[in-house]
Amino acid sequence: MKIFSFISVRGKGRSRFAWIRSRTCSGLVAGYVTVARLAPVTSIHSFGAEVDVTKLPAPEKTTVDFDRDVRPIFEASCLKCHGPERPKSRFSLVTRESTIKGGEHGEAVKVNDSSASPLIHYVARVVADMEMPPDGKGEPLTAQQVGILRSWIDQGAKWSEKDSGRVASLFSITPMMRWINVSGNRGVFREHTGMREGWDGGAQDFVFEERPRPGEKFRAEGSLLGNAQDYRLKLDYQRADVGFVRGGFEQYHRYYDDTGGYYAPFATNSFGSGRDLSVELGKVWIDFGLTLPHWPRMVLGYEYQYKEGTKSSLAWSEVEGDIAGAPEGRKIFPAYKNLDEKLHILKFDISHEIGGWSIEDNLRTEFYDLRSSRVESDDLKVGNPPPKPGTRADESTDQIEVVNTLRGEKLIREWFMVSGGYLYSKLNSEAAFTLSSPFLEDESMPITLTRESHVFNGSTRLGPWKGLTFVVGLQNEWTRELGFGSSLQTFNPGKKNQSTDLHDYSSNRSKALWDEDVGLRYTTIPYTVLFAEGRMRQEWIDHHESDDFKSDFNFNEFERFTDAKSDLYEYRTGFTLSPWRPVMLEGNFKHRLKEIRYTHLVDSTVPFDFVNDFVGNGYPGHILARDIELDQFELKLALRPASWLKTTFKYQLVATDYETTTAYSMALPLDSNDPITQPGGSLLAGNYDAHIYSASATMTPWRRLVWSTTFSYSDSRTVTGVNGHAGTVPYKGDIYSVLSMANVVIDEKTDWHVNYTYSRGNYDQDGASAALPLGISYERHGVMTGLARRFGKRITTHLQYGYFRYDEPSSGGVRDYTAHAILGMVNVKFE
Amino acid sequence: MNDGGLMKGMKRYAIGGLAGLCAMALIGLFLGACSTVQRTVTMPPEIEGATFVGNKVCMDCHTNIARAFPASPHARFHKDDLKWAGISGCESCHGAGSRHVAAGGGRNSLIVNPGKDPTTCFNCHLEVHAEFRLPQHHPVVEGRMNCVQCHDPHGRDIMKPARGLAMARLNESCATCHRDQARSFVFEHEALREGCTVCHTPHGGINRKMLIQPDNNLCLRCHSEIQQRPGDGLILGKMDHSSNARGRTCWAAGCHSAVHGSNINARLHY
Repeated sequence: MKIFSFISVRGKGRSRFAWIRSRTCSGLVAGYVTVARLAPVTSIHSFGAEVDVTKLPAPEKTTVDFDRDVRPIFEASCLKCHGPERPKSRFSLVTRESTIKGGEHGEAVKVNDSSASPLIHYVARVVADMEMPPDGKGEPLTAQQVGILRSWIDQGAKWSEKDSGRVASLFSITPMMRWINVSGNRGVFREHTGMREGWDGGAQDFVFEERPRPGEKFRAEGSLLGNAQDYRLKLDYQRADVGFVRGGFEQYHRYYDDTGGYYAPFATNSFGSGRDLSVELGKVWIDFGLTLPHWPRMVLGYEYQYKEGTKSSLAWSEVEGDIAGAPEGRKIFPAYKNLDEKLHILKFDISHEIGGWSIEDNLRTEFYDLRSSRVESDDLKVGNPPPKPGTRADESTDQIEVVNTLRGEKLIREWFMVSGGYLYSKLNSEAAFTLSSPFLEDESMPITLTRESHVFNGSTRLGPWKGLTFVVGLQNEWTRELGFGSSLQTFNPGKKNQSTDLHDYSSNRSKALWDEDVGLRYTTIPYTVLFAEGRMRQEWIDHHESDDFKSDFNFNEFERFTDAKSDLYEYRTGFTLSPWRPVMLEGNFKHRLKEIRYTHLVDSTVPFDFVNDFVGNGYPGHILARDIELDQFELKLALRPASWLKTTFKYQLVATDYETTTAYSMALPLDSNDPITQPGGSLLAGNYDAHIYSASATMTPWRRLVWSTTFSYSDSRTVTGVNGHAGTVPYKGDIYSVLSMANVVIDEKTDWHVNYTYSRGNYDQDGASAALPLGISYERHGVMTGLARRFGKRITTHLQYGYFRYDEPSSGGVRDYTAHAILGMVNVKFE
Repeated sequence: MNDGGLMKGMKRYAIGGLAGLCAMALIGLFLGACSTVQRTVTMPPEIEGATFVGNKVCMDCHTNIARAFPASPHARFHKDDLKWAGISGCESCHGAGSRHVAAGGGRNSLIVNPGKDPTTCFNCHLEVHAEFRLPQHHPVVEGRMNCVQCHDPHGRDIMKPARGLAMARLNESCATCHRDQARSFVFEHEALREGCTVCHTPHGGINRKMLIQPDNNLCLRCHSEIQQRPGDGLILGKMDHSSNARGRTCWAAGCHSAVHGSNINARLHY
């Protein structure tokens, strides 16, 4: 009867059906029979393969337990390809239903009838070209293993969800309460840690997951902190071979310190704006995806991003105090920027395999709406009340940008892969600007900006061939950018000597770029990998900008037309050596040189030209060349002397030189009405050197303890070509960092963890009387420690304590803080 | 010793004693449970009980990623040898894959996803880990961001400036969040042609706004020029800055405060 039903579904010839029935009726089978004992039987699969079931190993004569007997076979030999993620032939062995249902080749398991089950035919390797696992993908199943699977099917193909890592439903929530006490500068604490002092509570996280049917999944997860207004919600519904809907919402606050600069000689040496500075960074999104078999994968999405709030600005205002009885000004009074930014994104992604080509197209349309205002205060005299906000620069930008990227790649041979792409983007923007200050008002008419780019790319990978892999890439970009607008400038508004000018601004930049990329890797030398890479880039930029205005005093009018040509040469070579598994040595060297040459075809101030050579108020109209040269060396040694100990040591050297060449030019010194001549020529404008030493150790001396520590020391120095001037002092110093964490399993129910971070920097600068020293020296400690304790299978409690301390002597202590935090959480989980 | 001093001393002893008692209790609990506890702790990318399978096995399912991987920055150290799987292959970042493979894949505890937890990245990028713990940093260790938002470990992402088979565009990674600074301007600051990292430390630093240097040295690295009166005057861009440089940064109020570009002022004053 079993054979009858199988053949009635599968059978393609009545003669075979009749033949089998006659054999069954011949009395060879009695009671609970094993089908393999039936003498010569063949069947035909949906794709036409003929099966001789007599070659099937006999079923095992035991009662089969799925978890004990069957799951290990699936895990060892089958799930690698037929798991839940992108199963081959769309055949998944994840649930009983999907196993029985089969994939593209039809039903796989005939419950209670193993000899008629294609799954058995495949693993017994009796179907040509359908042997499972395929050659090279795993060892064939033994006769005993096939027998176990046969018995399992014959006994009803019973299933178990135990230890599968996949649960039908899950709900977990972690309510939490947190209290933080901060003494000292709260703004700095918030900016450094991202946390706000005081009580807070909510849900540290929550997860709900449901698998209503095979191949169908719904998941919701998120977190909620009420006082900090920190929210996160992610929703995900997916159905195999149909599609998905994913969406969510998140918002958190980014905090900023409102303290300005510090100047020790003043009687009042530091100021705050008195504002609570933070920006909400929010996002709402939804994606609809279609994943139908044999169809292109398509995703249609919408995203809304917003940022609102106020952030700090480093455009500090003037404070006047006395130094040795004489008035001196230092710009240390804080400033801030109001921000209201909104972004709508529409996106459509499509990808598909066509003729072995993997094709992908991504279209994004962005609607960006920025409203911001930079606010700076009036000048302040030490001892006077805080100044009012005196200068306000309001900006708005409404921008639409469309970006489409098309990309294709194909693995032509195992050793030959090609890929190519094209990116097109177009931006249209309308901006406005209003400046309001006691001395100057500037109100723009609409400012128009456009940008259009075409980027082409082609690359290939050749190899590995005898250990050699070769990668070549070529990229070409064409970008044109236009900007123009006008504004009405009023000097000394409302005063007797008020004057008004009308400005017309414009800029036009055309860029052409070629980028060549070559990489070579060689792995044939025993224990060694060698690599070498080269990148060259040629860039041409035609740059025109002008500011024309109608006035009796045309001091600022200018026009500049510059051809900029830059060449980038970048080389990197290195090795990895691992003679024994516990030892790995890595080293690489990188050299990068960028040469930029400027040809100023027009650099003029018209008609103002009181000295013939004193032309060009546009900047950098007198810079003729700039070279940036970087050398970087890196060496890393990883040692694993024992299975429980892993150590890594690393050293980096970075050296960058900036060379600037200027033209002979003239300028008016502040202390004279006679122009002076700047000689021009090449100068080592800047030099940056850094040595960075790092080491880490991770150890698990007992299986119940893991301890990891990282140490880093960096020593850097920046000098510039004009550090001889009293107002500019070199910037040099060092930073130490120690990061350490440990997790300990105290008993079956209790864990203890501790996390300690320490860093210390010393970039103090001399020359306080002649300059505004801004180098920082500081010391920072952070400790978090806590216990986690499980109660039963569902409840875990966490109790944590945190200590944070920051000292910044270079700011006279005004930015110091000490904080204590206590955190309690209870995780409740239902599965 | 006066009463206040006595109280302070007693308080210190009390806190010390309490901390000692807690430590002793923890050690006692730990030692007492030595013989009975079966649980273990591991550090990513270690996966308990898993063994290495090699890149070829990963390629069976993750074909697109694995076939482009030889062109990625991480492939510089890669050798297609099972003995190297934990050093430089897929499993050096994602953890040994045998249990993941046996379970048929999936995003669960049987495989490490460095896109969600940067611990694995920090195993090699030690100095970057330290930078993320400096006072000013992108909120990666806080879980607000992840490494993959800016970097493309597999070399396929068009918008991220790394080597690989895909296109790369300068500053695109930063512009995703910092549109205000990366937008188009009538008058641009040409430094942006070199990328945002010419002025900012991308992972973390000690200076506000993650500036490489907090003072005029940042600008003068490029804008220095030979002086007619060295040590006294400071002529930059045909203007005498000798008094300005003493008491302010180049981007102070009233100076070049529009450092990322300006729509109406060529000298980036506002």
